Amino acid sequence: MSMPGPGDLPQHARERLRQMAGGGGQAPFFTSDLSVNEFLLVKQAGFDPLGMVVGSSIYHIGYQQSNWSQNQEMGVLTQAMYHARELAMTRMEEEANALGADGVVGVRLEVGQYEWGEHLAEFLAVGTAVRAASGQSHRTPSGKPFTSDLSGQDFWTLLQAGYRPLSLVMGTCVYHVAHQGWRQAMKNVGQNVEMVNFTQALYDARELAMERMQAEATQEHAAGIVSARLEEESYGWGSHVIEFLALGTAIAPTGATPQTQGPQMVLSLND
Amino acid sequence: MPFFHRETPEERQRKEQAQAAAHAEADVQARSLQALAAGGIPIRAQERVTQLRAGQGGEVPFSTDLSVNELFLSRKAGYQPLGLVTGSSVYHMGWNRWTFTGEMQAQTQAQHDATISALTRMRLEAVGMGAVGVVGTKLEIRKVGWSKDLIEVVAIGTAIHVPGAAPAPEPFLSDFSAQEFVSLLQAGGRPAGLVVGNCTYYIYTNWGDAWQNASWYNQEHAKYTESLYAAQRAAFGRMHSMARNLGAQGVVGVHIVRNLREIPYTDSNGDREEERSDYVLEFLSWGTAIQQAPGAARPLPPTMMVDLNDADPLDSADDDEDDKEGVKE
Repeated sequence: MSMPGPGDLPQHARERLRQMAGGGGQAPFFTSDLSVNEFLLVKQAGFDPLGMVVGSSIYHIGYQQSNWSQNQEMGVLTQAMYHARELAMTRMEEEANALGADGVVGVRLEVGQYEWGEHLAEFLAVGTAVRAASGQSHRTPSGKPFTSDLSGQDFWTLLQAGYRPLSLVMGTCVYHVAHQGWRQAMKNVGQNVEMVNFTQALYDARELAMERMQAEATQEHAAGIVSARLEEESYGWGSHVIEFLALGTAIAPTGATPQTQGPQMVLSLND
Repeated sequence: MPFFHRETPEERQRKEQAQAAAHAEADVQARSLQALAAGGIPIRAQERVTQLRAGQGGEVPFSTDLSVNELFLSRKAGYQPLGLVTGSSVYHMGWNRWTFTGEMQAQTQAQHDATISALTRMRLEAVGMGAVGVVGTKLEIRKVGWSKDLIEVVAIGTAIHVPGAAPAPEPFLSDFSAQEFVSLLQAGGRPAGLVVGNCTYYIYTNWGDAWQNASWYNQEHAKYTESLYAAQRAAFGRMHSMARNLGAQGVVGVHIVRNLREIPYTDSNGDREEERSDYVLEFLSWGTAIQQAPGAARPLPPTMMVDLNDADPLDSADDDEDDKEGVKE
């Protein structure tokens, strides 16, 4: 198989992908971080693993001055976190594209920080590219490979239930939580009261992240988002600046009748 | 570059837009604060909830923290997810040194109020979406990073509904996974609501206790044991009475969070000074109260099988399961 479009992938990535895709007298072979059980289930669902695909971006996160006494979103930082993840995801999708994949399962999104740069972070997206054995396209309506952070088991069950993954959707919001003045602090000494200011900040930030995740899914014409989760992290911005990340897999109905039997009660003999 | 720069119309327009945006944001925040002070939910949450409600039936996708398996099971049981619901409350807790052992009622009350506020707000979001209930609720008590006197209680769950059925005026709350929820429904039970009980207890270290702490002999520290028991009894008692008020027969899946704070001080004993520590024990338990229909069927006996699931799936989501229930730093 020839490589469709060189893209702007690094040379070694292209070489690795070419090896996995086979061709020129060589049989294709794959690497994958699927476990044996996941591998079997992905096969059972009618998909062949093509290889591990990776996207990475080392991003310099800019600076934004926050207003000491104000609850506010840190637009510059939100944008950085969003853009960097988007870059890593797109590069992973490009690799999947180069392999002629229908989609990527088991995607993990990670953020790593290194000693050589205080404001540098590496954004990494890793997953296993798969293609339908039937040759039928399972790409998203916009023609991109689907992406999902579902395990092989979940992928199988989802297809059985008459749904397919569309894309990994996310929403992020970096928020600065206002400091309280000493006058306010003095008032609270020895008091047990709700701090509505802080509640509002944390609540708002979570809602913004969720809203953005939902907007991404709406754009993909998804029926819903499964396995959504909310993560909170402060990447060395000090304790008052926090990133809220909402992440999940957007799904759409396949149109096929669900192959479902009623669930049975079982006792697993696994240890 | 002229010395005197007159604003161009574009510049003025941009400035006005920025000002208008800042005003709008300030307005949203002010109204959110009012809503929170009245025990409600902030404006952005209200907006997201209304949006989800208006777009039900296709235009707006649902969102859920249910896994694929859970989604599949709840659909089988006739339920559909509506959206993620959350509630949050940040509380200031004052700490002071006591000179006797006993329950710190004000702190107990504050912890209780914060938990109930978070749950109530989550329920308000569920009501706004037209839900019959909330499943998979995760209740977390976080220490807010910037102050040791602040705690945040966060509740996150998935609102569900029965398509075609009327929404419940008071949706039930539960921390069941969909698997547990479906099993319970099959066995003729239903969740009555999340119940919580807590107790904050001060353990004063007197001269005798300090002496015992320094002893070389193995012996039980009766006062510490008793304090633990007292706090536990009080917390469980409150959880039980909350369950009884809901008309439930029992509470399942009880979580317990215990947190010990050390309060160090220097005690002067006549001519010499000694380093001592008192302790504050925070005890919190919660679970889902259930009701069972009289004469309900016994669950079917299970089939034995070898399953193909991995003990440790790829994603690390399961790794941090343990600390989800605990107190977060």
